Amino acid sequence: MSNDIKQSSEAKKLARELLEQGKVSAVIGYAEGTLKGRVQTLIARNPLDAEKFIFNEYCVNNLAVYLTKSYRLLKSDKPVAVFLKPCDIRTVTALIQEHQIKREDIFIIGMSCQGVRNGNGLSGKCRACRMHNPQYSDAVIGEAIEEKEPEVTDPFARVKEIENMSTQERWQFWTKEFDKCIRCYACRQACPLCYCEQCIVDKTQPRWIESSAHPVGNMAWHLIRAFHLAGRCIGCGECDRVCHQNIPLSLLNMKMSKEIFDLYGYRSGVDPEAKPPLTEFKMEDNEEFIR
Amino acid sequence: MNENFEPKIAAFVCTWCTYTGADLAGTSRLKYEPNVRVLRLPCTGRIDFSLVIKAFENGADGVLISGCHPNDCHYNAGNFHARRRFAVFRKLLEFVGIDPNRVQFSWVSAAEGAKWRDVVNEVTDEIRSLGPFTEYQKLIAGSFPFQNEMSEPEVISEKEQVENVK
Amino acid sequence: MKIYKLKTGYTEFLGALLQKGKNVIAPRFAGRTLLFGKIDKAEEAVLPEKYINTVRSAKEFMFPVTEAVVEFSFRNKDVKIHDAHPEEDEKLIVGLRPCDAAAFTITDDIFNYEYKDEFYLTRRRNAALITFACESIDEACFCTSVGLKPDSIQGSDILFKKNSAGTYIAYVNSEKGQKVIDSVKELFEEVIEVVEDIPLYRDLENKMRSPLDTVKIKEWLDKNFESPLWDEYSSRCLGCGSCAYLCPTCHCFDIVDETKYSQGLRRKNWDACQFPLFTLHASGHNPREVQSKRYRQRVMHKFKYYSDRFNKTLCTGCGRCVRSCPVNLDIYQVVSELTKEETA
Repeated sequence: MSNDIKQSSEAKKLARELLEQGKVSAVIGYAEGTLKGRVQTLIARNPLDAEKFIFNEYCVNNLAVYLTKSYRLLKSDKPVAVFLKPCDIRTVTALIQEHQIKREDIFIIGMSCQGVRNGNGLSGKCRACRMHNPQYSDAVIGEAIEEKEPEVTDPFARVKEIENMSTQERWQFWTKEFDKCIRCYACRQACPLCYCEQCIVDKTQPRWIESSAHPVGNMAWHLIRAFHLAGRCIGCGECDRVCHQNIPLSLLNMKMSKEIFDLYGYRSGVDPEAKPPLTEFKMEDNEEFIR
Repeated sequence: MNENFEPKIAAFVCTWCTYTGADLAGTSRLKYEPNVRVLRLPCTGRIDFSLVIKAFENGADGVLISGCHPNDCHYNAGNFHARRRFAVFRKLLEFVGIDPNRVQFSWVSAAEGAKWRDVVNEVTDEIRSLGPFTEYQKLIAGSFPFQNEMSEPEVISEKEQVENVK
Repeated sequence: MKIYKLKTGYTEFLGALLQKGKNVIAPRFAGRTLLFGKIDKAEEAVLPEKYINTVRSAKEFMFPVTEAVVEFSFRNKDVKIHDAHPEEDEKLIVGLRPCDAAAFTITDDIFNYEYKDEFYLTRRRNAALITFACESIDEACFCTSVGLKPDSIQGSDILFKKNSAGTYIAYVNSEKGQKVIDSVKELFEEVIEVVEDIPLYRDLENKMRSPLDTVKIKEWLDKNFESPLWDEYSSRCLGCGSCAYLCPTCHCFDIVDETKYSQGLRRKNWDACQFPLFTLHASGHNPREVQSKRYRQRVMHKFKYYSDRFNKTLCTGCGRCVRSCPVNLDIYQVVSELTKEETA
């Protein structure tokens, strides 16, 4: 707890300084929420607002989502500062790889992180976390944390469980989950890597994905969402968190990450110089499945 | 399983190699299974997987995707990109419980009329043995609960089509 | 208005209704998600004391997520059109909260306005709303702000409240409600004397967020269509449809045509003002091209436009939008702060 207070006050101080000295046009961070266990986003543009910043165990949101969604914020000659947890920083790396943002337009305030909570318990992503210290940041808030073996050693355990089901069981599992979908697109909007100006699901001529929340439309939407994030998803788990119907969306993304790693040895959001795997190829790529 | 089941297969082919190869099969009078509906695209690199999903949504039991052999792509690298994409896409289909053998891939060049015949025959056999894609058909039936009787699927002659456009 | 005492528990009540062949819809778990759904066995239903509210409101039983409004088939130039009709079967929606029941009295106005929406109205006619007063609330609840209470009867056909002994007392509010009671009369005992008001409901009322001044909010909104504050408050909105889709009073929809072979359906689907596509014109022009304009629309529609037209606030304070917002953009907080800004 005392750590929270210390980190919060350091964050306030840094945000205020950055804004006072005019180094950044805005600071995107966390502020006290209106519900227990929830925090709000605060986009501070003047030093007075910086007083509201906090950092605690409920800061589960990945604020990198604002880097592409609130594009107007970035239309400034000054960089934008963002509070990012070590895992969230991978989003910035991925966005740089995809030429969506420039490194110099972002001032990364790295928060050293002991893990965050989602509702009652430690967030699923934190159970298998191996990065508590921010890399690649312009400033670090909080003390260095000793990296230790995570509680869950295999992040793909649940994916493997589903892989071990029969084809029919898998079909039943997923059709039942997708049935709950009401197409509110919270998964898309909360995803920091879903930044298309026009989403394929909003394309009406021709209509690729039926927008109605019926079995065909839902199946198409979830397959396409997962595939459009293949090799790009950095596993922040926001899609899971925001799905009020509790569809385990990140399982699909995890499966894609696992396959991409097995096939092409690539992990998203690690190396800003690397090319995303589905935008390049090698002569010797696997083609066992081709006649 | 119904003995008389004949699968519907959508074949997305690239115009430069496989389409020309299929054309060669035709001009060489090679006989093969009539289950494929050939759809011509510029390159396998253009074959978006939404096309595959659309094919299933429209009642296909299987999909065949075919293009130029590696290093023969008219656009140099289209087929290499497609290869990666479909290697991953197959895994996704498998994960949600769709038999990945319903989506087949081949490299057929413009000179391989005979290979096209063989590929089509093999793929048709394989999909025939998988049976109709009842899972997806159930999704369709659940999404389109028509109250009125289905009108006969229309078959329009080429002449009529021209007339309609006029 | 008659008052009855339920001689049994909730599960037995549902069991009796099911035994009479009634179509019962009640909160039950679909996986980990508490939703209204048709129940086949009384035990499937979750007891009213075990939940605050369902994830989705009950509006989908009058106004479903997606429904066909027209069916068509075509052959060459010959097009046939068949009207689709809503199902006519009677439904008992049991276990609603007062906020959800009241929501229908608000949306009735819009579905009866100028155009009578046959689909909504038919289902509404055939559904009995059997409400259970709240036994717990959370920090997101704010029904007292919009003139409701944890035990409001507005919109309910029957309202169940507990007495100090923990027995359910049924307040019948309509013919429809009386019929339901009559169908399982053996479970009920008529009560003549005035029933005590137990402190639980007043306690909950007092614990809730302090009431909003909706009159003042409307006054502010009347004057501040163009205000820099919209930009400030909406900048953190992600533009998802969670709030609108879970809201019991949000009623916007989209019409799409979907075809299979030579047949098709014209569907009515839920839509939300937070999506850019919602207002996109065919010309390519979008009158609400930025999120601040879309967020303003949501607030304006709830607290001003609906009030201008029907003299009602398009909100029942159920708190679903507050609970579900991915970034905790709290409409209660926003409107209360907006009105403060003016006085400051």
